[in-house]
Amino acid sequence: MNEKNTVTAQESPEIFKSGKTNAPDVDIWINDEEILLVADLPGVAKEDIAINIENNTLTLEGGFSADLHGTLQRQEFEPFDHRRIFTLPKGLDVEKTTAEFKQGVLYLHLPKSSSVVPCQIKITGT
Amino acid sequence: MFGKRDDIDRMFGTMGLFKNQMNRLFDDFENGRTGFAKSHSRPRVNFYDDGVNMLVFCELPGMNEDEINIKIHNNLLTIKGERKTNVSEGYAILRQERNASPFSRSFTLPVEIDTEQTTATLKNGMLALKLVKARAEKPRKIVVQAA
Repeated sequence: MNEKNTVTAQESPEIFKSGKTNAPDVDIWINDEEILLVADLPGVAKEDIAINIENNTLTLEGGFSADLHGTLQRQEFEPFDHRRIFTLPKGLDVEKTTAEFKQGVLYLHLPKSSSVVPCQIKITGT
Repeated sequence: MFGKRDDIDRMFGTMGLFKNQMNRLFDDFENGRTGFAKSHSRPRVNFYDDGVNMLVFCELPGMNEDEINIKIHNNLLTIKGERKTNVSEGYAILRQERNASPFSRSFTLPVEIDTEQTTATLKNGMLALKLVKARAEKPRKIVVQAA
């Protein structure tokens, strides 16, 4: 039982394939300009994060790389890679997406396309 | 039946470990959550033992070094802190799974610790605590000599 938990994704890429992944917790915030997705990715290095947007599907993946070793004494989390898939709404300008990573937290800014940003239309005429 | 309180602690610890593993057998469909999920509202901790050290790993994404308070007193390890969700004004919430409430977790350590040598590092939102076992607790090899 213990051996399974000391294997990381680097040693064993089939973890992704086996579906043994953690779904990270996310907050999703919205304002007039953008959708902001905040995801907790503890134990993941910046280089091991992959963000893919394809046909309105956002795939977020992070390879777990914290060095856990020794005999397991108590376990509350499993050192699996993180993965979560979202369906994006229409009207986003995905080309302009930006991401930052700070202390194990990913901030993904998905700007709305200019045609969707609300604007007021003035009525002219007599 | 049990000579020391430590023995009882350890027995329950092992039972808990087994129970968690059993529970997880059925949880795979849910694809477990990480960090401070609302459901458990406290950071999750793993303990390892490599013979010489007790290694404690705690998921603390989005926290600074100075927001975490670690104390060891008479074999009682306490990790305390509060995470701030720093999202700027003017945003509406669509989904909120990340928790920001203050937390405090305490653990009875199964072995005597040399507190002078304890180190703690925070990297990518993962706290790693290295607790060096006191001299008497370290494994010792005994060489058999010919009579």
